[in-house]
Amino acid sequence: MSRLDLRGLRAPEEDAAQERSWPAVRDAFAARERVPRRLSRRRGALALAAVAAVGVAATPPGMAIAGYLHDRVVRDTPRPTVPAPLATRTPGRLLLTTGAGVWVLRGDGSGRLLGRYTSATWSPNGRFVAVIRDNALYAVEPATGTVRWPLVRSGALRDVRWAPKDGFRIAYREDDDLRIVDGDGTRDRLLARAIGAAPPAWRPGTHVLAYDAGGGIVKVVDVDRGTTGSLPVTGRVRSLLYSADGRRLLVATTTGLLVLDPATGAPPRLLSPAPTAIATSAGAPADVVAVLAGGRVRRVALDGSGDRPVATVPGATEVAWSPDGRTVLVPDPARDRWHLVDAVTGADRTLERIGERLDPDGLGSASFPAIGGWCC
Amino acid sequence: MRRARDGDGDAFAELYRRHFAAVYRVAFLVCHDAAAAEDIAQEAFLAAVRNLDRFERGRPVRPWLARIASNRAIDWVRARNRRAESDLDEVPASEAVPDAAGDALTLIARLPAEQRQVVALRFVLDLTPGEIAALLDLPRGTVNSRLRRGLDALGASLGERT
Repeated sequence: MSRLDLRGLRAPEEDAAQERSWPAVRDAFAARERVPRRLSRRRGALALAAVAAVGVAATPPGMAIAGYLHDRVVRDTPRPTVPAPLATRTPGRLLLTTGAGVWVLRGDGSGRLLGRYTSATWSPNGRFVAVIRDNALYAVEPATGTVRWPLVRSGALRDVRWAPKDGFRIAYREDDDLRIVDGDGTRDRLLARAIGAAPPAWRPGTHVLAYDAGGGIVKVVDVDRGTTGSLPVTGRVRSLLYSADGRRLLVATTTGLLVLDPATGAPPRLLSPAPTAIATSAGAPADVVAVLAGGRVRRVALDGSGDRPVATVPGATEVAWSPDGRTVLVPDPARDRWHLVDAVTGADRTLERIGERLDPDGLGSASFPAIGGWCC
Repeated sequence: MRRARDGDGDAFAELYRRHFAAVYRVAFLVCHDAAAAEDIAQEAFLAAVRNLDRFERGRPVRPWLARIASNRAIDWVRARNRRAESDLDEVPASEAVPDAAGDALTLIARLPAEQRQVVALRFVLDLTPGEIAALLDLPRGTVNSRLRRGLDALGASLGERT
């Protein structure tokens, strides 16, 4: 080679890459062009939102942008609050996803509908919420619903998880790919392709992420350093969760609840039969709460020293544990009811008509809520 | 650029059509992974969208996009190199390259990422060493030495283009 001339070079996949990337870039531009500057003039913004909604609402990306516009424009509008009977009377705030969107519910029963989102996660200190609608990820303020930044992708998004260390990393799924974006919405990048169905889990205090790689493999990766470990498990992975102290990784599979210690590489220990859901709490770092067959909810010691019943709620498939470790919330969707169980005494208090109370329009658009997190 | 900044979607689409290929090529030359290059090029344009209002009037767009892409491609290469120590199967294999460009691409792939970056900016975008230095905020001597080492390794002479 006597002379280097790369001007005529074509890289592999060039045309296809250009075509695939365009929808996300175009949608981001559409969001950008209609949102800024005009927000201070409320009337103009409302007119703009109406025009934009007509223009873009016909496609899934369009719906995402239209929703984004809606939330930006009406962010100062008072949102419905939940009647006091839904008060959990516990510290912290619940993040709930219903058919109407994502709610933030405080212990005193007051709440706010953040917008028509389908998945949500708290930032580490509860200052922000990351939410998903269609092919867009947003960071919003929980008190006002104000959108801080959007990230528009081309595929369908779900399973968003905010790293509990410092808020600097967010993991989410785009179709079957696992991606990472910084907490300010920048440096979006691919972490792994063709991952399994279970949502990923961050190790507390780190930027280490555990994810279901499929085929009975759980991978643990430091998303900053790139170092990776592989942990084989038996059965299909249902959910992943770290203990609140970050020492152990809990893997709920179709064969049982396994506890793994990635640091020592010790063989996995079986803690219980296959759970349908698990939850941990910073207030009780030595235990995990698991929902087993028949709706039996048990509190299990992570060191394998024993377990004890918390409640039995037939049909239960989900569980949440309050940040102070005192209250276990067991949803009963068949009866539109929540059980709030004292984690120590087992005292059970029920709240009724949950989905109905979270229906802001009274039009039946809300469904029984899924719990996206229980934060400070 | 001015029309795109003012919200003209057609103008932005034209800007994308005009510059995507070059930005993608720069990213690919640095990271040699088609999937990563696609993500990086897309992210460069998304960054451009976010920063349109702050873009200086009269400044050329393509080098600005290429700087974003090449810097992120270098970050990607560094992350991949760190990861390779523990789990090579996680590293996506490089895509096969077309025959016509195969020799150049194969040779360039053997250079360190920093040399690939300046080679790509010099010979894909036709930037001068001075422009590259300004773009990457590097001393001009550093750019020249990286270019020279890269071209020496490629077996190419600087010829009339340096």
